[in-house]
Amino acid sequence: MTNSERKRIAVLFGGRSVEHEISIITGLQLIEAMDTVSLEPVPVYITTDGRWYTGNELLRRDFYKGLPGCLSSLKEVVLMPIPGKGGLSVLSEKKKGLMPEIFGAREPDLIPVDVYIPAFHGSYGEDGCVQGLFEMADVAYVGCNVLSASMGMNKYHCKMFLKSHDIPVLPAVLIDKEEMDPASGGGLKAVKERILSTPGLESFPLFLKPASLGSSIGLGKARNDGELDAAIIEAFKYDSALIVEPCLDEKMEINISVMEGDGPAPRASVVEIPVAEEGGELTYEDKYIRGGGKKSGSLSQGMAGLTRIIDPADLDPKYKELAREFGLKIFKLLGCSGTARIDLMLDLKGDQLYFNEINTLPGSMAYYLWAKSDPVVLYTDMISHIIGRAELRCRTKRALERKIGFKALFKQ
Amino acid sequence: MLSYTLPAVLIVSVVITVALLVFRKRNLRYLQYFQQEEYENGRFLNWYLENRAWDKVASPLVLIPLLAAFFFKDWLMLLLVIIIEGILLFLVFAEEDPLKAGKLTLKMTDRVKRIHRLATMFYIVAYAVLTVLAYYGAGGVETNFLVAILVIQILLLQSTPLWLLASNAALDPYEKSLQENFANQARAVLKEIDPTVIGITGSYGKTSTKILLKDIIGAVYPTFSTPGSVNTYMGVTRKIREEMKPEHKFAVIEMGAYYEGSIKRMCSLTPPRCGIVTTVGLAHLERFGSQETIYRAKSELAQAIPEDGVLVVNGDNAYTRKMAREFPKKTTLLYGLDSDSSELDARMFDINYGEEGTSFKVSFRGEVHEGFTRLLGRPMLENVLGAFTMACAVGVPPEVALAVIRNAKPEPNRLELQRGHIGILAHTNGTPPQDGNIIRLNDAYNSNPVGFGAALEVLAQIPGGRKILVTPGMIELGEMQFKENKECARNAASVCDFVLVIGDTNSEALLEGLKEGGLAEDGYRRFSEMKEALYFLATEYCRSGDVVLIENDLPDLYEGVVKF
Repeated sequence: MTNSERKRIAVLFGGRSVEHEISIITGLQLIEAMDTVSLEPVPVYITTDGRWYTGNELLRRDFYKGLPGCLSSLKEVVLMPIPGKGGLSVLSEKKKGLMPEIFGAREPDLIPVDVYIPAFHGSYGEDGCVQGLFEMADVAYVGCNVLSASMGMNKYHCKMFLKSHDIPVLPAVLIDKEEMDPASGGGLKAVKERILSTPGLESFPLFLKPASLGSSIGLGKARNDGELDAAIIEAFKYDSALIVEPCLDEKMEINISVMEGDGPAPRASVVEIPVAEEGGELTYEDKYIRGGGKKSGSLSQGMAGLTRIIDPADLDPKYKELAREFGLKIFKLLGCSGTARIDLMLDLKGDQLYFNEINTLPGSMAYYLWAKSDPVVLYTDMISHIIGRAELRCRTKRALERKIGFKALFKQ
Repeated sequence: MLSYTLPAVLIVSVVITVALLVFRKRNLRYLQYFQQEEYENGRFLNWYLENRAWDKVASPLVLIPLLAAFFFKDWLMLLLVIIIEGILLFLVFAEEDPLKAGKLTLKMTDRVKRIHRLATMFYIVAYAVLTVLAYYGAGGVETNFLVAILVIQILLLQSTPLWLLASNAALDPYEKSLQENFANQARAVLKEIDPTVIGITGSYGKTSTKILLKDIIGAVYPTFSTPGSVNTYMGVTRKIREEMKPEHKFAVIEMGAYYEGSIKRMCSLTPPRCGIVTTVGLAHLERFGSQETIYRAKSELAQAIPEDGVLVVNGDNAYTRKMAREFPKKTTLLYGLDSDSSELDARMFDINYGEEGTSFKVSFRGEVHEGFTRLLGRPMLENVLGAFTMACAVGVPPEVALAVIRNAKPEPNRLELQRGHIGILAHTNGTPPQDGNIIRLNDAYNSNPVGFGAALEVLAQIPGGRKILVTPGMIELGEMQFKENKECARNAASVCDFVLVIGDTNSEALLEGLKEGGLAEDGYRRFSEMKEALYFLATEYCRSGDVVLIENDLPDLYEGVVKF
């Protein structure tokens, strides 16, 4: 296959999110796994302040040590929200052309792209924002659409929606940061009162999370009043809303990945049980640093490097089956595409499986689960599959009737 | 025109070309250190002399053709010059790249580029003048000409730092006006956004207090602050221009006192409404001359605060108490840990070090609040209390301030508490570490007598099994070094069950102190390296429940050998 016949796949990573770094790992892993015989990767790095750059230097991990100075060796690009363009426009200040007054400013160069893969985690990338831009530009992109991405991002709304479809969830309350404002009669005391008067949250320990973040950042466990204060402040550092849930005494996390299939029915992977370093909750370090990156020299593998038990032999098969059932149902209910990882929580005391949260763009795309599934799905094949689905979805969408002519404006 | 043979002309060309190339590389290498000395000619010169940083590679090499010039002629001489100058060029270019090597690499800022360019110009002019002089001075005698050219090369190779200094001095007025321009832009930004400015100064604890205060106020109002230990006029100028945003309601500015008047100057850049003075101690005594001068330098902050502003000072320090009396404001608050002082407005008491951190109580404005922090040690708690007091004074609810303090993370290596398996102490390369969990108190960063004492206090109080100290002692204490190390060791003897003394630098003082303090012969042991000591602890000595304090580490002593 010649170069020009390969499909050009823009992999977008980094971004304006606290999970910026993890997204770089996911993005680079994805590019490494890509079938380069039929696909040509175009790495696109989005800086913490939201500027887009492309260039092959991005493929080296060392490159990021030189930030932000090293950006000058890259091309700054942007995706214009203009249907039909398809590619990335190069924003280069030098290319103004000779005497633009006379000859007219030169059209910016266009880097052609066939399919976009958002490899972001968290804000602006996993929450429907960048998906909205893809929709505006009318390009093919992998994964969830605007609605399913933004539903999946908000822990509270996602739970409430699934609850209404009979998926069991733990009780929760959503607190907005505005409730902390003394000017409107709020404050730490008022917030605490509201939390502790919510049914199911009357007693410690409680668990607090930013409403729209993943990656364990801003999480807090409160065993007493003082810790509740601290956990509220910590969560509001990263998000303008937080969610409080009870903290189960004896619990086990069970994660499962679900991927879109060839038709309307999705497929589910084997389950995993992630293991925290010292028991208790997974920390950011557990998830992303401990796995491979601790010894200097070795590369962190992001989510793929976590200590975990995949397809645990001693887990009761009924829970495995239940997790599968929940996973497939949730994926469909939320209208997801691409690959998602669904985190469930097993209450060992109450013998009940709860939905905890969904990651519509999971770390490392959850490929490590598919590698152990039956039948095995290799990362390379998974990428090709979800790219194919993205193209199909885009074609179907483009075929929809959009123009009905000007009728209302010029009524006679 | 004087006539010289073709080989002579070629020799001269080779020598000059090599000299220019070597200059370029060497000038950048010197600039790396010049930048670290903050472009101060005096400091750079001190560094140059202390490290004997003159050229020791190129000059001796050039001596070879210089001597040969008396014997060799023509093409043979040319060949020799090409070989020697080639080796020279190779050696110099193999030297470390200042843009990549070293703990602090050379940052090619505009200022560095300007100094480099002007120094290069000076060098070329000097080279041209001397070459012309040699040309005519030799009066057509080829040997004389060649000798002169080679002598010039040696002289100018050695003169590299000189042009750097000259260039810097010549650019100084320009740099100053440029800086003032930037500072005025920062002033304009500040005036436009108009945040409440809180200045922080003091001999110790400025940076920690600043970080805490920024986080506390930041939980309620968007707050600007300079990152890390940025505390100079130009550093703050730059950060204001780059990072201050319209939403910032507060600006917490660390103000370093480098000489009398430097805080006054900083206050003209960022006029404070409020200020904290953490301590007036003996830091940089040699620069200021006397503690009275240090007091005057720090009180410039108190003077700059308007009458209706807020002044928060450490009530445990005699000098800062005096400052509060001398420059009272509408709100003047004293904070402290000393339980016997009745003048304190914010008082911290019932301090208990536990295995997760410090629990304490704070009385402030007639109310008692309970708090907890992962930070440890008396100096750090003073910073916590100072930040708490100021935050409450500007309207942060005490419970919010205490919530942030509960979340505050210790900075790495600054009395950082870690609980974990004994294996966290050292890589044991296959040998299994002892089984069990320990508490490690890591205070490896830059120890001083106050910090050492505070760390021992924490070690004594923290519940656990045996108390173990690992230390090479403290450095950079001048003539006090022996006495201070001995004193700390004597204290340690009453706290510790086992002490591991590292290296030779302070071992005599430490061992003397330990013996005087009454530690038995088997209560201490010497190791040549930190790594060895930790290995011993991990594989042989430690048992579950032990508490290990690592006080100071001295890797810097063995780094940074300067070679030119």
